[in-house]
Amino acid sequence: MMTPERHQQISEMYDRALEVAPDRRSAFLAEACAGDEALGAEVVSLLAARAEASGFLSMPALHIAAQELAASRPSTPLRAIGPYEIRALLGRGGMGEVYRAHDTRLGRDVALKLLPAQLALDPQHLARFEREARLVASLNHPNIAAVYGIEEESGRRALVLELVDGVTLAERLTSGPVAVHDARAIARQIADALEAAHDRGIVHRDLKPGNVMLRPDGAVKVLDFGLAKAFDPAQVSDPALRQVTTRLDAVTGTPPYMSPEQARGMPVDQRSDIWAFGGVLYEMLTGRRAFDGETSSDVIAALLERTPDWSALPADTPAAVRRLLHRCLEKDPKRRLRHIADVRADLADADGAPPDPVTPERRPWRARALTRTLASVAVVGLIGAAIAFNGRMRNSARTNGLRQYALLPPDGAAFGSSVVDRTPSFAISPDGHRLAFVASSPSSGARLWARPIDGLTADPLAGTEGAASLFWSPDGLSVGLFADGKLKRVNLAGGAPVVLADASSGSGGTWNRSGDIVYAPTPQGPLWHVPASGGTPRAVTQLGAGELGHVQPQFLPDGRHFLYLVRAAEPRRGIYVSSLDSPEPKRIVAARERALYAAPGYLLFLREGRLFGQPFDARRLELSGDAVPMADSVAFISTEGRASYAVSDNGTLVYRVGGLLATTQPLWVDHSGRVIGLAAEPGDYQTIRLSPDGSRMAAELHDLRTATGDLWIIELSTGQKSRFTIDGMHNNEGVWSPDGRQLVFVGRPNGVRNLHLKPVDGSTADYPLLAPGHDRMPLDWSPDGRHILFREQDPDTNMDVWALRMPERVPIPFLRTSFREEDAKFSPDGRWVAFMSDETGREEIYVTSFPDGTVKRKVSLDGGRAPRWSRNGKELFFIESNRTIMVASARWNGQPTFGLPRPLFTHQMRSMSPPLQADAWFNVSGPRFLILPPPAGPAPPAPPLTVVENWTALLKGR
Amino acid sequence: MSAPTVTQLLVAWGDGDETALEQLTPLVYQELHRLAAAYMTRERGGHILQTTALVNEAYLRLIDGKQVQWQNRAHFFAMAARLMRRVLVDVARSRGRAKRGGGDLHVSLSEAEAGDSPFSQGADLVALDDALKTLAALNERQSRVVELRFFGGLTHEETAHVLNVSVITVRRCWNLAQAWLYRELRRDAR
Repeated sequence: MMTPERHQQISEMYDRALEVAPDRRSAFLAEACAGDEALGAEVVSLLAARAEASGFLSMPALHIAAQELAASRPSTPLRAIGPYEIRALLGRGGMGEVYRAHDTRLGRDVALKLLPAQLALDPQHLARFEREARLVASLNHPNIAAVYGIEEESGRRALVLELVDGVTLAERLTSGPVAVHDARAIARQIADALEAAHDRGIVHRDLKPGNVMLRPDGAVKVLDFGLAKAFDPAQVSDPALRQVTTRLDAVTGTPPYMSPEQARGMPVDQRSDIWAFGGVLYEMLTGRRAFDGETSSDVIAALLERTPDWSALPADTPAAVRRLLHRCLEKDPKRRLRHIADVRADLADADGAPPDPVTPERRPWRARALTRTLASVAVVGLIGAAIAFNGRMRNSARTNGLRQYALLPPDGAAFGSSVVDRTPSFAISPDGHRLAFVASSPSSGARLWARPIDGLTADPLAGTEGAASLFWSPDGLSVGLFADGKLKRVNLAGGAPVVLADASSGSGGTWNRSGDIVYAPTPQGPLWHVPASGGTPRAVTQLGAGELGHVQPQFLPDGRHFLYLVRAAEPRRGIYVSSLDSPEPKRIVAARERALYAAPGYLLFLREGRLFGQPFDARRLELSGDAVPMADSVAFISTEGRASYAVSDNGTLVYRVGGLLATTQPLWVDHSGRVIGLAAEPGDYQTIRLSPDGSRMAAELHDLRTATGDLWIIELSTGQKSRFTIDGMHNNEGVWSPDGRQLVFVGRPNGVRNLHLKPVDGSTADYPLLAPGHDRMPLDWSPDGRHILFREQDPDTNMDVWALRMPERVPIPFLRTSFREEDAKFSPDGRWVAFMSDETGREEIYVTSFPDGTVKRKVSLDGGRAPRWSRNGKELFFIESNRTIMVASARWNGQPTFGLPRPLFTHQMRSMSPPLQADAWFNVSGPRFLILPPPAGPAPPAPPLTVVENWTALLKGR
Repeated sequence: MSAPTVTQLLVAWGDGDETALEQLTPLVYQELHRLAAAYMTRERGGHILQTTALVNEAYLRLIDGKQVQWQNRAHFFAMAARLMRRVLVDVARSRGRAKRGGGDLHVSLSEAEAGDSPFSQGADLVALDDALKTLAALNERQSRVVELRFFGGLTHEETAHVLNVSVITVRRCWNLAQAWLYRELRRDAR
């Protein structure tokens, strides 16, 4: 109990500490408070509070009360944010309001946590908040309430969270302690959640009963992971804002669950979560807090000096649980339980279940010290032996439940063919022991790597440059891959890859025990067969009417039947089964991406990035039962049916979450390169295109969570955003009609890009301008509205530019050579077209007459892309070397003559496909450029691979 | 006979006349609403610093120390600060209660629309009031410094005069109380 005398002592020591220079305070306190550690800690805690409280109470109460009164006027009704329709207010707290909302795209309910508007005023805080939220969004675990992403609309920002029904543990505890058995079950799930987060380097920081949801079905979800920091008002950098936000009930360091090192103001790591875990478990068992007191000082004194009242634990508390509590609530972090994974043994012990012999040592990527490495290798060896020779052991390991951990790429490398590869190729060996994956580094490009799944080192395989679309041999000794336009196999024990067949754009393969390989040489044709030992390929499927291609095959256990994805328009698109013996396809299920058969009898497939498992009889080729969701946000690319997950025969699932892209913001830049304004809010812009009057922008915005992209129309004066397309199919550039009332954009109802037209106001549905054919993308619309230029990828003549005569919709070839022609733009009078061609071996800008193309001028000297005409046609701008805006002046004498191009300015630009994201707008005072810079700041961490052992437990966990 | 001035009422209240409070309270409310209205006519957010002058005016209208005999000043300011604390905490308490009355968990959308912004955390002044009471039990002077500075709107120097201590003492008390209260308010209820 705090006394006035003690408080006086603290106050005096605090005053004395303040007189010491900040960098010498620790030393001063250590000496001055020798023998009274609690006094020192108390002063440190107050000094830390003082540092955060700058501005606190500095504005008079009258001011605050009046502000609150002013703020209480009715606000604009909130009906929807982005695709989320608000359904009900769930609660309102210091961190803002939480609503139940309906996700109209995915047809599910979510929770929306509105970021307080004041926090949103501080750009630095906002940036931090978004970084944290993104990191947490990469967490994917059944016991963690998922963060789906951040949504914003007209300045209101909301976190999109998994909606969890149930009561909080805090609410549950108001009715007394939890029975030992139930407490253990809850604690196990909390521990699982913490482990998944800790494996990703995420510390919760504010674990407490109020952050643990108990669902009616017994499942536990931990909320607000890592968000304590994001919502912490002390993180607001502007003191004026902090004054306001400190009135929010901030959550950092809730003293009853705060660890001693937190109380001392030391840096926090996962061990603080372990302390809090101990506190929560203690409270569940006893119904009271491990450390409590009337004031924060009392609580701090208790947690520094006192041990919890162990006698309060119920008599039937198992010894293992008591031991566990002691190890979690150890005051010295060095002596505290280090890894949350280690609690499982104690909690499981208590269950009477056999202990899992491997659990404590299997933390593959956390173990770094040499000794630990050796220990892990030894244990992994044991596991291998156990699985090979002891079937019972293997089964018990399976029923023992789920393990989930992250796998990082090799040092200096990124998963996939490049750092921006969202669906890196990887495959797990049938026995689950080894992982083959594609990883790339700037120095050596993309190669095939292999590693033991439990090991620590991965090795690249020689001669596998450019590898993609991997698949294992059934004996786990070789890997099939596509590289250099060939199907190859490579023996992991050594030796050069062996070429088996041509495959210009391999889209999946599979290998059975009899040495048959079925593969997709391109996404456009049927599946082919070739013996693994070499031989003549033959087609084994036939494209049906309306089918674009067969891809991503996988043999079923009989080694004769194989699953594959039929690329076609819905509803034909889906997963089918065919056989080497008879090519009669049987449809299994609708899907856009590949499906996998997984022992002991499931089909795994994706829906909008969510991974489902459903019982599947591989002999009768029939699904049964329900599809159960197992993981969210799995990366995929629908066009080729790619999906980033793999599964072994013994219950190991590997996947990678998608949608972690960086944020950028379109800028207005003047002719000297000076930034004159922000054109729109930050977002993951892929493309930007100004309307003819410069008032609006059509932009493809990427969705963080679902890896989908849609076109949005952005009103540049107000920042108001409206979604233009809803299919999420990456609609790329929108090309405006001259009157600004219609947009031509990319639609891909059947997976191949085509030109679609829709009024900007969305009053009628979109329709294709041409019958499906080659890959197409719109480029420009003539000033008289009579022609739309588009580019078409023709396998024979490479990229060509065509003109589509409107409104008849007659396509006319315009620039059609064996070289690439792109980026075509009409001159203001519509009689000339500037374009890019690589006929000299370099991408250069040319101008030619339209539509005859008889006169042609080369404009650029050192390369160029993305030409834009000035309004009077007297200047032609283009981009050199991806970042320098060049201008060439034109003299007109019936035909244009161009002067030497000169550089205007250089600015970093986001490079996408189409490659350059800049646009120009001209008014009387000269040109302005709309520029999309590359994502600012440190890129968000690329997601690691997630490994799930005993993935079938995921089916039961939901 | 003219109506008593705020000064007279405050002195009367300080002398134990509780009926004086009934006449004082509406005056504070009036200033509060005037101030609130001034905020509402501005764009919200971003104008926090410029409003200091407005607040000072409001205090001046309520508590014009010039009329007070110098030997009464300390007493007068102490009562003024206590009045502010009492009224403002009452306002916050009643608003907090009204807000919680609907039951936060199942409020219909229409209620939510008519409701408050997330910043109207009426409960925070209430929590501060409670914490101040705890602090008073540990150190009366620190608590009174906060009352005078925060609720009474007094400067360090004025506070030093009222409490008859040095300015440096006021600064120390203020510094510690700020830290202590901030830490106390951060404690989550659960």
